[in-house]
Amino acid sequence: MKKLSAAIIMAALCMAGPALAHTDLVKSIPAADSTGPAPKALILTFSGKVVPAFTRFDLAMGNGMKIALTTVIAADGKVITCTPRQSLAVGSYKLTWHAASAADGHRTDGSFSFGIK
Amino acid sequence: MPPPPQMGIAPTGLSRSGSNKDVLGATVIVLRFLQYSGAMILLGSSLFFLYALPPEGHCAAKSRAWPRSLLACGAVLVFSGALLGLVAQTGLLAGSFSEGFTPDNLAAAVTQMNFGASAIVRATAAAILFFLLAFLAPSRLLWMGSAAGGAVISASLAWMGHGAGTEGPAGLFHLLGDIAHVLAASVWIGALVAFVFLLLPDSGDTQSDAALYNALRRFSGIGAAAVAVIVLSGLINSWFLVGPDRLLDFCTTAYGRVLLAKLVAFAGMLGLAALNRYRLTPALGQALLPVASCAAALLALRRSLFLEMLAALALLGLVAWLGTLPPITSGL
Repeated sequence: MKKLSAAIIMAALCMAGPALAHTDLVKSIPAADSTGPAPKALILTFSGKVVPAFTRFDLAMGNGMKIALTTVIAADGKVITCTPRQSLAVGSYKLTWHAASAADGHRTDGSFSFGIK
Repeated sequence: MPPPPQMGIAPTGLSRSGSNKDVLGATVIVLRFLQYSGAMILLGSSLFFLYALPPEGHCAAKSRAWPRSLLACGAVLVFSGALLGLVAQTGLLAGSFSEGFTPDNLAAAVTQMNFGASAIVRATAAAILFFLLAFLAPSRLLWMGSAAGGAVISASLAWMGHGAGTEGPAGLFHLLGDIAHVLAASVWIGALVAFVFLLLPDSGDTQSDAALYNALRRFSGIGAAAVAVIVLSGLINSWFLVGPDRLLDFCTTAYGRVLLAKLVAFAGMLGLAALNRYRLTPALGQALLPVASCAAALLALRRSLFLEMLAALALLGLVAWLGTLPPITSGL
């Protein structure tokens, strides 16, 4: 019984690995530093649940002009869809994000660039 | 199949100056330190009154003035630290201190974030304890109630930082490890605070010195058990927050450096605790013999316990800071 308990504990620890659910951006569409056709929406996936009240996104063109976004967060709290209110013209863009983690109360920030051809 | 429900995010950007963020960040750390300190007193000191001091007589906790005042101070520290910490942390997330006061932001912090909900639990428990301590006569039942409330408050600290930050099947182990860590630390540091109060006045009466000696002996076994739990749960927490394959990042991340400083403070406390247990307490026992004088033994104990208390305060400050830093495993 002790061996079984130890095995369950070790299995659970190994399943989690050392990856803490400290909220960070883990995936984006379009991907960082990629170039491609204009997407209808930007889809951002975070490693943990983010809190809408303290989460913000800013999209700017290479010349600094801001593009207004409509953002919605999925029920799991991790996937955010940012839809530009105007179609994206050819050029370079930078998306800046600020997210607050529901789990540990931390704030994380970041940005990535992508191009439209 | 209907699409999942979605929630809107405010489209506005944040404007925040760096200094504003730094001041708020430092305020959050100070308020976390106050909550840790109060929690240690409420649980650890209350338990100490029960297991280490005699139940009756003039050496009993209920016969002295300071135990009840000490616990009431602990409750005030937790209450004020929890509510002000809630506002400061909310302000830090929202962009300014004033934003931390807005009902919408506070509601989001309390209903959607672990730190907000746990702050309300701590503030409520501390308020109840304060009134019990203020209006009830000192008794063993009061110390038991205070210890129970202190245990709830101490355990809730796990939700204030990284303790509840791991998802998936192993998240429960991390959470339980964090709760065990803070409970054991409370038992040790709360007892240390009580020892400092016991040693502050130079009683000059043999009965008080004998009570102190007995308290030291009773604490020694409990202290050793607390250290064992702290080490074991600390290893579990490190698995999640440092990671077995990131040990080399200890010196290259802020989290790693603060954790190293915390381990140094812990090692210092351990060394002093060993000195107290194996050298200074037996020396006091010898000094209690009719032909000897306690003065030198008490002075040595006083110095050692004050140093241990200083190390404990430094450790709590580092823990308060540590909880605000991204752990090594976050890769930030």
